[in-house]
Amino acid sequence: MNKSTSKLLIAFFFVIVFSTFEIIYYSIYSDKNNLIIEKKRKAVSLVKLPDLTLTTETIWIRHRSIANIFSIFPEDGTLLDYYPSSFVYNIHSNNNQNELGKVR
Amino acid sequence: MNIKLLEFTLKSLQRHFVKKVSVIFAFSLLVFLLVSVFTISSSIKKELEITVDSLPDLVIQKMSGGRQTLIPSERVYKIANVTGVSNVQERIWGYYYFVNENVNFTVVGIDFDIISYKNNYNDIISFYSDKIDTISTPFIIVGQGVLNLLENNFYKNYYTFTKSSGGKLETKILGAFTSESNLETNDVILMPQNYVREIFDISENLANDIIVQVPNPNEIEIVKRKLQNMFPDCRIVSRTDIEASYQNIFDYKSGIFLALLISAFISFFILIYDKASGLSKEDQKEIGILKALGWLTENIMQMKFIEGIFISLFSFFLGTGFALFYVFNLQAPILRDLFTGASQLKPPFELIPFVDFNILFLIFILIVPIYILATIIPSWRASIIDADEVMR
Repeated sequence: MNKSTSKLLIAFFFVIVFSTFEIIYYSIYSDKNNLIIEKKRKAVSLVKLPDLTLTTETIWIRHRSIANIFSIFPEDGTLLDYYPSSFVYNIHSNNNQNELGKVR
Repeated sequence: MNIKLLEFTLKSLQRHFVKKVSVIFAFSLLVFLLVSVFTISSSIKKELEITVDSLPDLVIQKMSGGRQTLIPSERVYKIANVTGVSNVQERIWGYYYFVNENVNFTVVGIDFDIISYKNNYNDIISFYSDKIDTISTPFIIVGQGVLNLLENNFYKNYYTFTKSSGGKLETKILGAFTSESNLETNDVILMPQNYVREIFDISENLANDIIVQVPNPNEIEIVKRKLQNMFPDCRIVSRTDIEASYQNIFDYKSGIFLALLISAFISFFILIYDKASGLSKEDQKEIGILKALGWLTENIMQMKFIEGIFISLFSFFLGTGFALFYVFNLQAPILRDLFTGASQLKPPFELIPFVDFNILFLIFILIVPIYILATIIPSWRASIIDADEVMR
């Protein structure tokens, strides 16, 4: 096997080994992560409100998962349907055990 | 494995270097985009899954005419008597519109005397003003995003709320949440319950909603049904409902991007189809020469198989490696914005390292075997024809 072919083979194995190592590394939580996760848990148990602050522009997106069924109407009767408002709860889910957790 | 065959294949790849590099580039880019988007999505989902355990088991909201209204506080005592319930609390919270920046803050009222809360304070809140008399002075603890916005608007160490009933309430900033919990607390203002009542004009015998803890997970649904029968005017949201809601929103967000990636997929499959539908004259000639030199069909297919594996595995791992580096080390610039809103209150959050093996496997299965097949089939077609005919 000549030099350039060996280089190609080494590059191939390097990429595979490096990426596999990366996958394994990121799939295992380090101690630092556990500390951060613990802090996040404590923050949520203090505030006791769900949802992330990724979207805060309107009040029912921020805590969309506990928004009420017709949350679109109390806030503004003229507001048209838009993406997150479609993710509200099924009104029947409270009464039917088989339908629990189903979101329409 | 025949080393000579491997060497010949590698040399063949070197000969067609430019052509193969363009295939590897397109292949890796596709894998990179897919892995990046799905990893960001699963990382955020993981964050939600981690924190969902800390949420109350049930949230009880009073509904009136399909709208949520304030719930009488006295129901706390009735709920506390239900078998299986360990802890019941009324919750006072709401959204406060900050006109200067056109954003909403989440104002949460808590009872600072509850011991279980006290254990959490020191770890997640950095107090930077010890001189405040917390008994007589209204104080707030804010998220990093709120703190920055207030400071930008010249509210140093204090903020003045406008009350719903009219008038102002000046509060001192006692501390701020540490940056680790930015994704949960960026827009949060924490303050004593009585002041939240004052700001939102909520009387003492009413609350926004009631939270319930049920220690036995098997009893949550039973308690939920009991409470539903006790209070038919209430909507009861369990943690399962919240988890389902999370699942939906992230499926939706990833779905949007997947829809955009369909064009990339189509172009990739066109490339594959083009490859599978026939070899170029040059490739056919190469196979013809090899056959004329005494190579068997089996050898040619082995060579093409090695070539296919080499290109597809190299591209897959290259794309995946770069994607993970991009997401977790560089914190996914540009692509991350797909998952955040348009508000001024954007949290500078860090994605939790989490690799979803199901997604990686799915992408692998969708791309690698198809590419290998697309390399082998046309070569097999060319190699079963007579060498003389192929070369012509």
